[in-house]
Amino acid sequence: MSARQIAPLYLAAAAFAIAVSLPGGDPDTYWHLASAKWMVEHGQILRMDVFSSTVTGQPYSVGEWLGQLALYAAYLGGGWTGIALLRATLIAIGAFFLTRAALRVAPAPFAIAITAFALALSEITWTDRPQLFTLALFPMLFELLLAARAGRTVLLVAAPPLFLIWTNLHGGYALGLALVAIFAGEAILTRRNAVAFAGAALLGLAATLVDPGSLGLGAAAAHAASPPRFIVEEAPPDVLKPAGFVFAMFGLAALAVAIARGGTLFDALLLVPLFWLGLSAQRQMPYFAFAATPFIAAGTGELWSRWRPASRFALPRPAIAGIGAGLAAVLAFSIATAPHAPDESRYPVAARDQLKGTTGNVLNEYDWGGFLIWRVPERPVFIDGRLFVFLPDVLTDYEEMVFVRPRWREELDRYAIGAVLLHPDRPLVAALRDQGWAVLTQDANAVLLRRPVR
Amino acid sequence: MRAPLLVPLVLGGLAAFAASQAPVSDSDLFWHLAVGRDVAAHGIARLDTYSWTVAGRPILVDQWLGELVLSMAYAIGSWRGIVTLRALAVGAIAAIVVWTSLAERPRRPLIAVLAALPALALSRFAWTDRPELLGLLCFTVLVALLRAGRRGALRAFALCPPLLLIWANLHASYALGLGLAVLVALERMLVDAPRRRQYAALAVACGLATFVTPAGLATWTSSGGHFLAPPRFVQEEGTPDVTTLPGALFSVALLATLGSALLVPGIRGRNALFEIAMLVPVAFVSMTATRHLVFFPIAAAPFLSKWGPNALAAVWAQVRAAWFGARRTRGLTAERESPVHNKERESETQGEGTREHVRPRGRLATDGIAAAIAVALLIGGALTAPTEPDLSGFPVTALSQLPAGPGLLNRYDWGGFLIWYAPATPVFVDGRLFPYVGDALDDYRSVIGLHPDWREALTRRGIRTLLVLPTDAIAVHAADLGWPVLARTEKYVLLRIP
Repeated sequence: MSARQIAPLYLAAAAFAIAVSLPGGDPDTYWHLASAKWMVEHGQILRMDVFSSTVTGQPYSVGEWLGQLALYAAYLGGGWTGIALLRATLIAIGAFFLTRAALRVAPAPFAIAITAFALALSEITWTDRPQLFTLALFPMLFELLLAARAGRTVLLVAAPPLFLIWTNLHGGYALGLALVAIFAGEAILTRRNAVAFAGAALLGLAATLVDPGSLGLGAAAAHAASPPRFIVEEAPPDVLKPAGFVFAMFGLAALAVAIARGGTLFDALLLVPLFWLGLSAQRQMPYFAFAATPFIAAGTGELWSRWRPASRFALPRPAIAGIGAGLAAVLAFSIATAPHAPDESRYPVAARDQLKGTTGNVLNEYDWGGFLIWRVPERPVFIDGRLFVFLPDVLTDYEEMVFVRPRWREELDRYAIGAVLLHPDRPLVAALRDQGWAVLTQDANAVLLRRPVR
Repeated sequence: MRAPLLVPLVLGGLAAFAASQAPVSDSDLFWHLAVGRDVAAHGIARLDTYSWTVAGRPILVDQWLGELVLSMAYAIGSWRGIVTLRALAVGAIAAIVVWTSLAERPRRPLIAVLAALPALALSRFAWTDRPELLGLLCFTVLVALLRAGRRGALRAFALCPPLLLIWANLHASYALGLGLAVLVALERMLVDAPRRRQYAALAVACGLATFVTPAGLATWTSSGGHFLAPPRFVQEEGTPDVTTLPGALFSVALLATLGSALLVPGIRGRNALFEIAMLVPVAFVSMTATRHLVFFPIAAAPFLSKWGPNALAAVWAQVRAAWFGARRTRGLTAERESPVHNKERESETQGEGTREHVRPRGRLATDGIAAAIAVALLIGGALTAPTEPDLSGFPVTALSQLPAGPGLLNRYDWGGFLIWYAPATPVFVDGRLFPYVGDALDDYRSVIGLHPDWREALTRRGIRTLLVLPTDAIAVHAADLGWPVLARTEKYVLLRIP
C-alpha cells in the first residue's frame, strides 16, 4: 500500500485512539440516553416532554430519535465504554474521509498536517450526542461528492440513502444538504454533470422528509441564523481561545492561499458560505475547517513546491510499517484503558441523595438538567439542554429567578419551587440564604437549598 | 492616474453632516474630557485622582493627546465643538476610504463606493467621541499611505513614522498600525531588493516613533495586554457576532474579499504578497473584538475595488462559456472588466493618466467645487449639531443627592458621567477599566451580582451608598432587606446602606 492509501487509515486510527481515551460527561448525553430509554421502554418515538416540571406533556422534537437510539444501544452494549467506542468510531470515520478528501489534491505531508489541525479543531464537538454522526457523515459526503465531481458520478446514488439515515440521526443533515446544493450549483453553473448533481440534491432533499420526528429544514436554518448565544457552543468564535484561534488560522490561511494562488468557482461556492457559518457559532467552526482542508493543503503544497521544487516527501516502507505498528499498539492500549465512567466532577453529585428527599419543584442549573434527568429521574427538572421546548417563557423565568430580577419571588412561588440546586455564586443563592432557606448541602460545585416551612 | 476628489470629498462631507446630527452620549467621553482638561491645566497626571478605590495608583497615559484634543474642542465650542470634531474625523475617514478605493480603479467611482460601503456603514458604530475615533482616522490614513507607497509614491512611506508618532499618543490602536507598517516594509524588502535598506529603516523608524510617548515602553505593554485579553464583559469588547448588523457588515467585507481572491485570476506575484500583508493580519485583529470589526473593511475596500469586479467578470465568463459557448460575445458590461481585457484596461488607464496632464484646470475646478461642497456640509453640520449632550441614559436627577467624598458604589457605565458631573463624589469604578481590573472591579461585580462574598466586599470597601439599576440583583435584594431608598426612577436607584 502506498502512503496515499494508508494515510487515511493511520489518521483514523490516531483519531480513534485519542477520542476513545477521553472521558464522557456532556450534560446533553444524559437526556439523549434518557429519551432513548423511554422510547425503548414505551415502543414509540418520544414526541412530548416527560422529564420536566415546567413543560410536562408539551410536544417537541429534536429530530434525533435514531441518533439517540444508537447512543443508547452503545450504552446497553458496553456501558460508558460502549459510548466512548461509538464516539471514537464516528470520529475515526470522519478522519478517514477527510484525509482522503485532502489527499485527492495535496501532497501527503500537507494533507495530513492540515487534516490533523482540522480534526484538532473539531475536538470541541466530540461530545457524546447525535451530533457525532454529523461529524462522521459530513466528511463522508464531502469525499463522496468530490469523487463524483472527479468523474465517478455513479457514487451519487449513495446520497439519498445517506440523507435518509442522517436526517433521523441528527439535525446536522441540513449541512449535508447545503453541501450537496453547493456541488449541484457549481455543476449547473458550469454545465458539468448538472443533471446528476441536481438529481442527487433533489432526491437527498426528498429523503430528508422521511423522518417521523424531523427537526425540519426551516428550524435548522432558523437555528443557524439565530443561535442561542448563552450556550457556549452557540456563541460566536473567540479567536483568542485555542479552538477559535485554529478556526481563525483556517480562515486566514484560506484567504492567504486564495490571494497567492487563486481558486475556482467551486472553491468560492464552497468556502464562502461555510466560512460565514463557522463565524456564526463555535459548533459550526469544524465544518468550515473540513471544507477548507483540501484547498489549504493543496495551496500550501503548491507554494512549497514553488519555493523548494526539488522536495520529495516519500517515506521508506519500513518507516510506514513502523508507524503502523506503533499506531496499532497505541490503539490497543487506548481501547484497553478507555474510561468506564463519565467525568461527573462538575455535576452536583454530592447533592443527589439530598435532592431526592426534597419536596416541591426543583429549580436546577441549566447545565445540570441532563445529569439530573438521568441520575435523579424521580425529581423532574426545571430546565435542561433540550432548550427549544423551554423557549421563551421558561428560560426567561429561569433567568428572572437565578439572576434575582424584580419578579424573582413571584416566579419562585408561581412554579412552587421547594428546592434550589445551583452554583454557589448565583445571585439567587445569596438572596435565598438571607431569606432563611436552609442549606441542605454545599460544595465547591453546588449548593442545595430548601424552602423554609411557613 | 490620480484619483479624482469629487466623490470622496462629497461623500466625506455627507458623512460629516450625518455624524454631526447625533448628540454626545458616550459615557467614556466624560472621563476623557476630564483627563484632557487636567492635562491642559496641570500636565499629564500619572496617578488616579477620580476614584476612591484606586486613588493615587498609576493609570495609563497612552491617550493623553487624544484627550487633550477633545478637551480643546470642548473649550472652543462646548458640546458642539465635540460634535464638530467627531464630524471632522468621520468625514475624513469616509473621504479617505473612498479615495483609497478610487485610487485602485479611478474610472469607476460607483465600484469604489460600493467597495467602500461596508467600511462606511460599519464606521457608524465607531462614531464615539473618544480618542479611539482619532485612532481609526490614523489607521485609514496609514492604509492610504501604504497603498500609495506600493503604487510608487515612495514619499508616502516616509510619512508613516510621523503618523505613528502622533497615533501612539492618541490611542493604543497604533499597535495595529505599527504591525501593518512593519509587515509592508518586510514585504517591500522582499520584492524591491534595491531599496531594501530604506524599507528596513522605515520599519525601524516606525517602531521607534511609537516609543516617543509619556508612557515609553508601557505603551506597548498596555496595548498588548488589551489586545490579548479583551474584557469581554464590556459590550464593544465582546466576540464579533455575524448575526448582528456590525458583524454582518464585517462578514460581507471578509467574504467578498475571500470570494474575490478565489475567483479572480489576476492577483499574483508582487501584488499577492502585498495584499496578504495588508489584509490577513487586519482580518485577524478584526475578529478579536466587536470594536475592531471596522478595521478590516477599511483595509479591504481598495482590494475589493480593484479585484471585485474582475471576480464577477471571471464568474460570468465561466458561466457564459459553459452555457452560451462563443455565440454571445458582446453587449455585456462586465466584459470590459474581464481578465482577458485587463491589460487593455490598464493601458487605457495609463493613457488617461496622460490625458490628466492635458486637462489640469478642469480637474482642479472639479476638486475645488467638491472641497467647497464638503466644507459647506461640514459647516452646515456644525451649525445644526445638537448643543447639549443626551443624558437620558444617565442618573441626572440623582446628582443633587450624591454624598460628597468616598463611599459610593456606582454602576460601571456611569463612572465617566459622575467624574464630569459630580467631581466631589469620587467613583468606585469607571470606563478606564484597567486600573480596576483584579481589584475594585472584582468587588464591584461581587456586590452588583450578589456573589457569595458580596457582604464581605461591601464591608471591606466601606461602601455607604449604591447608585445602580433597579434591575440589578443588589437593588432587588436591597428591597428585600429594607435598605433606605434615597432616590428612585425607572433608570436608577440610589440606596443608603444601613
